[in-house]
Amino acid sequence: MTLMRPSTVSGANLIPAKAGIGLRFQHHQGVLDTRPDVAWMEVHTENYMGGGTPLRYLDAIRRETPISLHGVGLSLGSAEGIDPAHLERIRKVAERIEPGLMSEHIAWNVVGGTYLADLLPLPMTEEALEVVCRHVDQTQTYLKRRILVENPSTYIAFGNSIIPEWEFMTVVAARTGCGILCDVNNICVSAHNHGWDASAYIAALPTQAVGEIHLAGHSIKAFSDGSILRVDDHGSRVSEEVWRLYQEALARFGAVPTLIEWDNEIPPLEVLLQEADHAAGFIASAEGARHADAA
Amino acid sequence: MPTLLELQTAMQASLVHRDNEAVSAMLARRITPDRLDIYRNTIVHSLTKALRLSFPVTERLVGEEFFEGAAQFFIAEHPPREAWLDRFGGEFPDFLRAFPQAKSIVYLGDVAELEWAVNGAARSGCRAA
Repeated sequence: MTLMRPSTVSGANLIPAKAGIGLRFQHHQGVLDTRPDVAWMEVHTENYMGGGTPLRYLDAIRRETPISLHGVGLSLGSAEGIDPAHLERIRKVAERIEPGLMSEHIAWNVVGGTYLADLLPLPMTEEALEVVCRHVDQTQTYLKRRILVENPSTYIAFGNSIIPEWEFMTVVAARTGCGILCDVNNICVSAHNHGWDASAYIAALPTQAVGEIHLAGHSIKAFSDGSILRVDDHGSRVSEEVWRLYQEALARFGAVPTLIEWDNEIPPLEVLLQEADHAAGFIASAEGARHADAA
Repeated sequence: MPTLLELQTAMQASLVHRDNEAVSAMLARRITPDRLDIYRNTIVHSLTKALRLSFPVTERLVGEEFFEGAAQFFIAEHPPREAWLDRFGGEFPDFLRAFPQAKSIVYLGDVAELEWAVNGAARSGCRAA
């Protein structure tokens, strides 16, 4: 497996190591009207495959703002292989939008010709690791660029899992040359749900591979068996706990492009921008600390 | 130990058909199958949202609550075949025509069919651009 060079896009499209926001349909018009001062935006690739109005908005917005494409449907962990038609649809959107970054998930959602519209957990096994690496390789070769893969948020675990998730992520990056999209909220959610140490997870990730950070809100739900789970529903502000972990991540990885994700009960644009400003403050402090260390 | 394909097939049986038999034995010991409801809910929520985007007038005719109920039955009968949800819902007009609870609105299926055609036309009109 060859190491991929970072994406070959023109400088104007590169995603800066600053705070960005997830762009959803609700804010297409608002963004065009108000031209908010935000360093970059990320969209779900699948929402722009059909052309039409969404793509026209994105065509206009990307003239001024670097765009990252974040896929949810490639199913890198499918035992039956990834859908070449879906990969081609992704390539077409990328050709048109010229994204600064492209990412997918360590997850699966297609089996037996059915799309299970969520990001489903993989067993942490050698077989799953090989399957994911093969599909990341296939994707990077087809797209002729490096991708980032995101750590999942999970609510169940499988009896045959033998590899810690942070190790799984590390090996995928090492074997395929892909980058890691470190979702700090997902680490917080999964750590609570499975009794892991979130700080140790961040400390175990390979610094050089982390190319982006995601932040989002989660909720807390009680279950009939008495267990209390964190649910990654992207429906609220980033929690204090996640902001603390984010600072640990920045201290370890340095300034990294950071995205505010919000997918349910989407708030006014201003709230997203406030959250991005908050992240930007932490990025600036982390950079200041690094410079002080270097001096 | 199950293979990855066996595990994913068992997950599908659980999430789509609520058959937990195979998957229960594959979960780690402390995990109860009712946690799978989180995934089930997200799937229904995402697919309902996709239908809502494709059939806004249909939803206005029947109301939010009715639409969500109908969507839930439809999703169980016609889960999407691919990860591109713009193409999910082509069978929804026919499903509504046969849906007993919607019988009183005789034109509901026709409205849905028109919406589906409009979606298709809007997309194909932009593709060459």
